[in-house]
Amino acid sequence: MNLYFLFFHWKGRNLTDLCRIMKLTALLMLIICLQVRAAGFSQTITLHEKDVPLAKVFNQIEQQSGYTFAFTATALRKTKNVSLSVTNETLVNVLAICFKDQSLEYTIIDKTIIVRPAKEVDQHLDHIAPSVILSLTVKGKVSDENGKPLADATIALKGSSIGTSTDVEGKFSINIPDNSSKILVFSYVGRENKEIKISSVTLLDVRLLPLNIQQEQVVVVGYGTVKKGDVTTSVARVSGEEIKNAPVVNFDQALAGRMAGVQVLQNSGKPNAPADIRVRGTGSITAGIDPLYVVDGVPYDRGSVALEIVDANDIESIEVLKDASSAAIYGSRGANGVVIITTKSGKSGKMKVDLNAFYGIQDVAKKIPMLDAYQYAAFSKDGHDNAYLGEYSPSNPNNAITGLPPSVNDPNSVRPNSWDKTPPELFPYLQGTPGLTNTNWQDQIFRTAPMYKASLAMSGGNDNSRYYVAGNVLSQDGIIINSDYKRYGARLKYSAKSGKVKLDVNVTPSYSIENRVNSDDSYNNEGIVQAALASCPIWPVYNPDGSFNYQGNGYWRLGTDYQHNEVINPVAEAMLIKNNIIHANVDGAIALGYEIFKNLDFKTSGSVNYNQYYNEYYRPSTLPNIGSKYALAVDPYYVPSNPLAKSSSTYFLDWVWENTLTYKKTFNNSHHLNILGGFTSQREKSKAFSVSTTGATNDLLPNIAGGTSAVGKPPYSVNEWTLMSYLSRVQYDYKSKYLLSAAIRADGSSRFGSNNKWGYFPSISAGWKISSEEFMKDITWISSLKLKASYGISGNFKIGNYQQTALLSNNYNADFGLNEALNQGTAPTQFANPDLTWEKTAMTNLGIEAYFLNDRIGIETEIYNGKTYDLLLNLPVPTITGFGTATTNIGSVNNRGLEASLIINNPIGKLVWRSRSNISVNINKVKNLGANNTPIITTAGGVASAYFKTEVGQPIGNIYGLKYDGIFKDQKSLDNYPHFSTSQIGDFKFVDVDGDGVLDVTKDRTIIGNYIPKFTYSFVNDFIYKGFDLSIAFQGVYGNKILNLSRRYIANIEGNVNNMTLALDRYRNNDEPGNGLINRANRKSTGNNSTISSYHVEDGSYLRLQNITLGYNVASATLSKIKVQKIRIYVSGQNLWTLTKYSGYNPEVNLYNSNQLTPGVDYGSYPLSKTLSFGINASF
Amino acid sequence: MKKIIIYGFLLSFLFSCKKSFLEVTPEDQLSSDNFYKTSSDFNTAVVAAYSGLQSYPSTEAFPLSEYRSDNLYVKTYTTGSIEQFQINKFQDNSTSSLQASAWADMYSGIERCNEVVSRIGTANFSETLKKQYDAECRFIRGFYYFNLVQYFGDLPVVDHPITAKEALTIPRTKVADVYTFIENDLNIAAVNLPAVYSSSADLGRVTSWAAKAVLAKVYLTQGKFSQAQSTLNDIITSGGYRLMNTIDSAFSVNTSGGINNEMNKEILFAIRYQKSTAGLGHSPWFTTTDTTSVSDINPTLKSSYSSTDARLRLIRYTKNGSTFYINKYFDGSPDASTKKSGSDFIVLRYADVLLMYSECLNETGTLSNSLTDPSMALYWLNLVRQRSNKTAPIGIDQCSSKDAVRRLIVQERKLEFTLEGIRWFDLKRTGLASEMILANSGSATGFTNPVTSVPDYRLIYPVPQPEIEKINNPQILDQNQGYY
Repeated sequence: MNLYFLFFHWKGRNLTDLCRIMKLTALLMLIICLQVRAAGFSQTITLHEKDVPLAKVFNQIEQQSGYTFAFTATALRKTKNVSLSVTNETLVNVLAICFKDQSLEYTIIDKTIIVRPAKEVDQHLDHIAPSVILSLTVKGKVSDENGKPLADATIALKGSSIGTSTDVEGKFSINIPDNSSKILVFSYVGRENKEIKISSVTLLDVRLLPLNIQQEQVVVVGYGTVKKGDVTTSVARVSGEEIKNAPVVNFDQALAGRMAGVQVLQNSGKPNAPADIRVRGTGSITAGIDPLYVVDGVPYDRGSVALEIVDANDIESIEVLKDASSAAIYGSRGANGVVIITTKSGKSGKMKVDLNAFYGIQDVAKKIPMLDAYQYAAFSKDGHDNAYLGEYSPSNPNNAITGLPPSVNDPNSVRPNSWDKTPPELFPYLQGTPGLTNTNWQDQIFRTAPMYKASLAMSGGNDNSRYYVAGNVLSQDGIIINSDYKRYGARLKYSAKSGKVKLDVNVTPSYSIENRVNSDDSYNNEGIVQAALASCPIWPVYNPDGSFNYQGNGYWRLGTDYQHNEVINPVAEAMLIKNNIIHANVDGAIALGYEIFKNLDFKTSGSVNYNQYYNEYYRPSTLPNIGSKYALAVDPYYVPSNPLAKSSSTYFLDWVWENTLTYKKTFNNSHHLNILGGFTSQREKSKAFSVSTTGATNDLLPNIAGGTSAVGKPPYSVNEWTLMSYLSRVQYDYKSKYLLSAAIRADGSSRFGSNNKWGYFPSISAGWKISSEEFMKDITWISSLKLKASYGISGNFKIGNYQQTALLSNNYNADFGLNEALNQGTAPTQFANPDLTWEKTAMTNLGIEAYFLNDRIGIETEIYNGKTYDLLLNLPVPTITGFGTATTNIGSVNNRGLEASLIINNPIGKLVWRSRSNISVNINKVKNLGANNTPIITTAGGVASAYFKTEVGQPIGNIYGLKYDGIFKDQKSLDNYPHFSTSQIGDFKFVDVDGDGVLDVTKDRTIIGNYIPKFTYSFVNDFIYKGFDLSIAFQGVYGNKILNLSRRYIANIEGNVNNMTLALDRYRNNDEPGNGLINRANRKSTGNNSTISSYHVEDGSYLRLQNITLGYNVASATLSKIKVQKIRIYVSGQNLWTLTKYSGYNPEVNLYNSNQLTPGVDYGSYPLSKTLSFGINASF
Repeated sequence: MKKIIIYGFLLSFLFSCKKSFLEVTPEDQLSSDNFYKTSSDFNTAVVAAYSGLQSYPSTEAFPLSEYRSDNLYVKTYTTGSIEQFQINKFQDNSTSSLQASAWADMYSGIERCNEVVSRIGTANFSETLKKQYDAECRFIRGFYYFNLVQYFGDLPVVDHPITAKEALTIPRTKVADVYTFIENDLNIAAVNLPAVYSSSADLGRVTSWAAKAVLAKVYLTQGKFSQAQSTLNDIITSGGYRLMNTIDSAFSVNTSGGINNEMNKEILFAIRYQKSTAGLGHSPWFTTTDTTSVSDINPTLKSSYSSTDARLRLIRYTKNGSTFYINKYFDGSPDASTKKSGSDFIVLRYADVLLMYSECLNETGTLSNSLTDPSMALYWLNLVRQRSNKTAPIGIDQCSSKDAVRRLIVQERKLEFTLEGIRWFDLKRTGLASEMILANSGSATGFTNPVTSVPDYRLIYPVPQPEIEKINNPQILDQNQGYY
């Protein structure tokens, strides 16, 4: 029988023993999983035989070492018997003895020792079954970028379990079976993997470069990938590895500061609140400014869904397409940038199990220093006193009752107005009685909140089919009481290949439950955070009987109206109002690929995304409405409210069908051509309705079933849009030296008018890798140098549905008849707008990438100039049309900027130091606002004087108000400067902007700030030393201004609500002028102090320690004993420290983040948390 | 396999050519794609055109006609009333928002009419109904253009729904041609509208008699006296209208509570209101306060009435709550919560028909002092006058000339139609504007801030400046001469 015969029965030997053998023989190492398997084998071989057949010796060795011999009967036929006497000898030495003078040779593959005739190999080829046997041996050396040998580097044969590692000299040798992939993967901790295709027996000199800067890294660019070194557009990349440490709920938060030109704004600390991602500034005034999210090729127009369904642990990489040239492949959706998320896939090989889990403790990152009860009492009295004193003037010098000049010592009884009087409950505080109620309301609404997250992924497969199955569970309690979020998610990926056909399946179900509190609002609208700040500290949270105390809600306005604002107990608001959101999501995608010809691949993929939201809200009767009429003079100090219940439901159904043809070919080994063509279509439809009921007499049924009548007509809305596209791209390079790429996409959208149904988005880019030129060969200190330039046009189709449609309303009634019956009338409310089109961004991008000293230092710099035009504005039209305004594509905005990154990869012996620093500057300027360029002036937050102005020549959304310039410190300064007629000493001094000598709240408005930062920066440093890794990430923003409307209350210096401790620096009198910035306490504030001015605008610049993580990799020796491949434990701190002058909670706050015209408003918002967490990453 | 996939791919391109994929119709709101089909659709569209008229008194009649005429007098102004002051004093300019609002309001009403008129031809339902709906909208459109042309002179005539782009290309039409357009609309309306609606539920919709009455006024305004006269004669002989016994009952003025006399036999067309339905009531179109009033009935008007004239009471006020309601439009019990009234605004009543007829007779006939001859002007004048003022008829000793009679008629119209949006047009039509304004509001009166002059160019208003700027092409829309 001319059959080769194999046996694979594994036997135990000691791992260390094997290691020594391998080092000595410089032959072969096992891959990690085999090391685990091998645990228990003896280290050495002890044999005492005399003149025995080789087969018998082999048998003995098998038993002791766990290795298996593979040979044919014929191969051993001509062998000589052997004699040997060895004690604790290595396998290699034993084999050397065995094979001495034999006409045999052997190779060790994996744990199989293949034995065959020494010379007749070639002749036997015909007979060799194409399974395992033939092999070639590859030897070589692995070193770092400086040629220093790397010991313990891993070498694995791709798609198999074959592998080895280097010795102390960096040397290795590996046998590659003939039928294997012939691709060796070299890896080393802290360095980039390198794949090398083996075509013949070779001596390899492999250099493993430090992570991050490897030019061979693959970057996803939308409908394809490109090597990083060949990228000619502006694409930022973050690998899943880089963000795995951050103890965050959604991955977006972990991106903060990781990419130049990509601002990740975390404007709320709400559990599950998505961050706003802004790519290269704000390009639109009325349309959406969120980027397009693409998860595994599927575009998501609602970014919040993409953020919620993708577990950070499943992420392979995130790419952000920044310039219009790279984003043009996404056509009418690319103008705000494109965030491409690629999830991990199964790899060929044994099942790999990854466990990632952390437990974190969150605390509010900052508390605002507020007055305590005693300070408040004094402050409030001061306010009442000054109101009282202010009522008297030279013409009215004396109090009518006392006949004397008024004095702060006058009792309430002689003060004429209720607001002149100090509430008697404050008297004990004023006398300094110790031990009185002194509630710190912030402490009452904030809590230390735990969170945990665990993900388990199992992946593996073989050459033909692979799987990646992952599940995750997340639980986060909010730092505000009664807010929390739980999520359960899974990702199931499977791919199979058979001949020319390839199948990919990707299914992602998820389910989440969120309990919300109303944190982001003024206290008048039951905003808890602001209520906690404004609440008077002398009121207790609870009455003695345990019920909530509501004295803050107008107790001081009953009878004598002291004019202290009504604030509902924020703890009661948080605890009693129920606001629950359930979100179920299913994503499914199937892709079918087919290789039509050798270089031509066809792919069709269909995906469906179904989202269902269900929201229940209940406001119980036990919580009073706001206002003194809901207050009582006696405990429990409140009138029950009419309970309100609301249920609303929304679903989204979105499907995408994409078809692409890809042609890839290399000519003459130097011309690389890649051509893409495709057709896609997408439809999204959503429906929403909401029902509210009221009138329940108790709170026993806390939902809409409990109410007795519906509130109004239940809102109902339907939204639908479709998109159809053709796309094409050509990428060409000559020897990876001259790079050229051009693309065009045509988008047809239901949102566009009939005259502009289709839009075309071309782009072109080119690159020159100077370092690949011959003349650069000798300049060894430059390791790579590339210039790139691109130009493209991308679009923004987030202009709303049905904007082009002529809409009508049923609300134009008339009455006819004797009884004047109502006749319903229907008339147009909106123009048909057949010319309506998408907004467009044309951007030029120039970049240079340079790496020096074997890539130890790298600099990447880009400048860009982007013009967004055809902006949609609602502008006046000739009224002979019957309409006053129409949305018109007319405005334009310019964004120019510079992005620079410094990358350092500095292995110092065993210490690897990697560093990446970014700085981004973006200048935003409005260029055109229609025919007359009429500035757009809006107000924010329902505050009449909180103006924002958007005008030509300025950035979008300037804060527009009076300019505050400290206070009038004395009569002289008051007399010498224009002031409002009511201004007094101690009131605000405002700048007479127009210089006409008269202060006017309208005419003297000016630009007093903008939320757009002057620049943003970040620096991330990673250190790896032996098993330890340390990562420190800072990010900062400079020059952003925040309109802190909360100051209207907590810094109003009136005494009617609690104030920040800055009130202690207020002007008291000539002798105690305070710090010259804070006005006089006065319940009846004069001099327009409360008009929105730059007093309410604060610098939001900050530097934040975004993340610091210390990890430890448990030594492999220890791991092998417990059969685990890798265990890393870490402790991580998120948002532990922030340096800022901003007095509010969070300098990134942007309450009205969906309205570009009023950016950067703080009017109460959910503060950020700082999180300390402990986590584990383990692989089995 | 290969072929299947290639064909599938090609097929996908075919699918992509399906145009309807990119046409998405809103489901939660009406769009013109799924409207303007049935008779019910068109009926509601016509109702919306009537609905538009409800802003006529507050946006057109009072600010542009009553304030311009000598019926009202603005002593001085506050921040909120400067534009009324300027109109009253002939000092207004093209940036006044009152003219701009009126311009926009009327073209908005015209747009609603255009939707019906331009679409109904291809609709598929009863021809009779189609004619009626078309005629109703032509009446309303004609009415708007009649107002517009008297206020602004040459006009862009829009007779179908237009886009913003098209609006930039429609030049002004000469006054005479605008009148031709109006006559055409009203003639069609007069022919196609029913004389009386068969269903009492339709009471208040425009009738052929109303169309004829407005048409007569259009003729009269152009000096086409014989055409006006024959049209008016038609109404008088066969219209079935009559003067109510008292002016109070013509206006349904609530004297003792509870009379509802709206759409009475004197009324040819009225804009209807209903206070108990949200959106259908109206606030007082003109109000004043006891002492601090800056605008009031012109004192010379008050003194024009004899003390026995029943019409005098109608221009006085009734205080209800804190609001002063002018008696002419006070229905006795404004809605308790909204303070809205439900009294109709009469656009054209039989007294106007009679006085117009009187005017025609004077202009075309022979001068006569007969008070009993129905072919003589004074007969009709006194018919109207004596309803409210039982004193001896006037005219016998005053009709020395046609002009004298003309003045008598104009004066009687002033007393009869005060605050009905008519006086300014009467003054313009009869060429008495400057003379009367200066006499009643000028320096001779001794009032504060008298009108100093009424130059000819101010007989029409300036085109609202924003409209000129939006069009930004003087070839298409230029400013009326004299204005800046």
